[in-house]
Amino acid sequence: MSEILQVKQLEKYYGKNGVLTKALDDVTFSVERGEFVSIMGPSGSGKTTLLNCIATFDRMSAGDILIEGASLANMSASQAETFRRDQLGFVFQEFQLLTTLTAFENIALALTIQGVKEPNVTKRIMTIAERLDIVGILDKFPSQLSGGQKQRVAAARALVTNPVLILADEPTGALDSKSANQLLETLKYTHEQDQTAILLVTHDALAASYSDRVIFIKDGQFFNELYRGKENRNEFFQRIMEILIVLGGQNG
Amino acid sequence: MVKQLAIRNLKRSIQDYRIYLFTFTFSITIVYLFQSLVNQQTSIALSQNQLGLMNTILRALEGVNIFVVIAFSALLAGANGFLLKRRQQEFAIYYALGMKQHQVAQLLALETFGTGVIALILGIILGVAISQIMILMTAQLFQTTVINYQFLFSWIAILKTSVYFLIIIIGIFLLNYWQLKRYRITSLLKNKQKTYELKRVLQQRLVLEWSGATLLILSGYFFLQSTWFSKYFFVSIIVSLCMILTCIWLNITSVKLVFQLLIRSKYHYLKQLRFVTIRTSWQQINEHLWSIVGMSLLIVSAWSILTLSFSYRHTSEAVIQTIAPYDATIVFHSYESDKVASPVDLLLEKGVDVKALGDITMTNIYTTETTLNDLLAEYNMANASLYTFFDHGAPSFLRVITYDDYVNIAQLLGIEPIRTRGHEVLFLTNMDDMLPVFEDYLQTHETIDIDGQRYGIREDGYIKLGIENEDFSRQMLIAVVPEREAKWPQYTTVLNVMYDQKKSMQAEQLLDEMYQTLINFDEKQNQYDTQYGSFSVLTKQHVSEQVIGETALVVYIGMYSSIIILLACATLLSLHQLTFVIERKSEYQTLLDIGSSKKQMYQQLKKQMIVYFIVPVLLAFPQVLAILWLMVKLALEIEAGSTMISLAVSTGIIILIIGGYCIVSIQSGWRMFMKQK
Repeated sequence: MSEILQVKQLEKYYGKNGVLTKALDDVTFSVERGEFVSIMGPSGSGKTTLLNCIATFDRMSAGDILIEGASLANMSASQAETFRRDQLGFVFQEFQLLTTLTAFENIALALTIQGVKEPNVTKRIMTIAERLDIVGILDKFPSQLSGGQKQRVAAARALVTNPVLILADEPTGALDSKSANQLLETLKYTHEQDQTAILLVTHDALAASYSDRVIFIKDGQFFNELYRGKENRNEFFQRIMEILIVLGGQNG
Repeated sequence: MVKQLAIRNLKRSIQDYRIYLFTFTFSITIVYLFQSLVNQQTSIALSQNQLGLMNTILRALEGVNIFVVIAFSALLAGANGFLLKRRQQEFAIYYALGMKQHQVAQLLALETFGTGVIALILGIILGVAISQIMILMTAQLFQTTVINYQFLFSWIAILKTSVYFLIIIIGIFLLNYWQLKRYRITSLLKNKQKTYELKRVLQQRLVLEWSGATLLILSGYFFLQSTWFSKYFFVSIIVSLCMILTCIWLNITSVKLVFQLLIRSKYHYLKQLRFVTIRTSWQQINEHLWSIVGMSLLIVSAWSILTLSFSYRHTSEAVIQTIAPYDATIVFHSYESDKVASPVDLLLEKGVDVKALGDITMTNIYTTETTLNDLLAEYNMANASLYTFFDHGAPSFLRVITYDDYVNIAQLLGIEPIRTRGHEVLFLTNMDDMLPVFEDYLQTHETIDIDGQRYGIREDGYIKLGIENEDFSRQMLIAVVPEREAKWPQYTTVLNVMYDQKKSMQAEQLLDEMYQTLINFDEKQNQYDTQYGSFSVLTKQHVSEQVIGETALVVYIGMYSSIIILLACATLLSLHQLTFVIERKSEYQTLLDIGSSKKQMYQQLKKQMIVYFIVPVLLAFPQVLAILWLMVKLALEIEAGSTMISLAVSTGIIILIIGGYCIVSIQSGWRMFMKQK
């Protein structure tokens, strides 16, 4: 397996006039193609900052991030936009669906931004909708959907462009346990079918137990990592919980 | 602390809501400009008559000012209400932190007065600058030149404008304070995230509604076209009102239908981010549908007023030659019907030697007992504008001149007189609208009955010609009969004069003195009265000044009120948009997050704003055309050709104001979004 994401000695500072806060300090790790990796850590540990740097929402202060060999460090704003559009898929905690658009149109958004034209747009949406079991709700507006349905639509929007890497920021945070499990099963299935790499930021050990590997960070630094190997999900969950106890502090 | 907070808030709101400040400033500029007109009099070469007309304009503008102040109060209060609503949470935090109500009131007062004073200073500076240019426009409107130019700076205008706006500012503050007092902290703190529920509208129902409304309007039109219009006036008023309501209904249905059709056209719909523009615009428009339809009606009124006032000006210039074809007309109104003395001799006794002024004709006007209603009542339906002229309480009697007098008039004007045979009559009028009516009459009649006497009508014997100068076209119909037939009472004699080129200045001066004496209500008024009758005089110069002055009045008031209406609409549209951008910033952010480029985002925002600004204008356009068509048909002073030119000019002004606000809104909206990102 080749490396799809490489994070090299990543540093991120905030502040000015000599008063600097280090949000990320010398973080290094990589993600293989088709790997499902979770990032866990206490509140303020730098999980979301790390995700924002990888997503090009935020600029890194030092180090480098390579996605499919392309360095994000020297990318211009315009190149970053193109990169984000073509290579990444996003699933957010609050779904971030456009309330004026139907589920179909929300998914179509990702494709039309890429310049995909009809009838390919409808064809690709129907394929992903069947896989995520949302065909019946495609003409509904977000306000007419449950939390789980909304998140599946958001996942469909992230997956429909066939990105090399899906970045999911607490995607189960606003869901009940049943919907959360459904979504995670879906993500897992997609990841296995399409060999799409997933980077999941979560404070939920159960969500993390779906992944192949969990990276723990604390105070902006790499703390530990767990490989699932041949363990089942329950066993892996238990090991994650053990690390979390050692890690201490409030997760989130 | 409150002062510092107020200054900080002021800076922030000026940056965020430059539209509000822009409107406030521009409103003050407009009011100042029209207030300062009084000072322009000294710099422009105006005759005695024009000065009188200028004063009429100023008095009329005083009246319009009341409307303006009310309109601006409503506009600024509405705009400020938007801002206040946006800051509900901020005020809740002030209260939660222990700020007293009087401190919040003080903060609000400082902010409101701060903004007001900044706008007042900027508005007046701009007003003073523009008034230097406006003087040229006034001179142009009065068709005169600027003399004795001096820097225009009117303390009275500044004082009046300041007083008007201080009243508005105090009003806004009181309204804000009252609104603030009604809020509860808990409700203020609650994060009101708007959720949008879009109702699905059945396309078939919309098509039915749209067709129904169109059918009703067409039926109404045919009803008003029919003879019922005049016979059942009250019913016609009801029908007209129903048509206006149906127009509103049609507007609403049209907007809904167009958006539904756009959404249904899947292939084009899913191209680029077009569907986002359509859905977002539809959502916004749906949310403010009544407000947009209301604004479209306001735009209709502003657009029509502007077009008609420009058109009136345009027409008026052309009309002068028609209504005042002679250099001067002196009319003698005899007390008795028997001619006892020549008006020329009577004038000579008063020191006016008419014959020395140039070429003259003397025309006796006879009044018959035949009314225009008797003759043409059934034909006037073709042209409803004449309806009121035919019989407006007092009957209009047919007036008659002799053929010989007609020939003299034609010769004086240098035109070839039409020849008649035997018992034939000709007809003269200076009203364009009379022509189709009489043509209708001629299709079924070869003769005409005047006081029981039957006359043949000369083929093509219907001429557009005025037999005297008028200050507006009102010579309904003059019959030209053979000399021997003129046996009706004769009370009026008209002396038309074409000045001798060499003496035209002195002639005009002499007759102007006579005119001024006659129109000024003082003891000298009787100077031209004789024991046989009295005189009146009207030179082409007087008519020209009168028409141009009236035109200036119409143009000024038209421009003043229209610009204010347009400003109000543009500001409201803009505030709707900016509020929408703030409320929906997270959704715009999502677009960026999932890969939309900044350029695409900007385009998206731009398109959405353009659609929102353009919808009320597009709704207004067919209605403006309908109104103009009606006015061309009905109004005496409006012509189709000049109306088209005026429509182009007024459309330019609409595009400039609405478009200008649209551009500023796009820039402000984008800046606000990028700042809050």
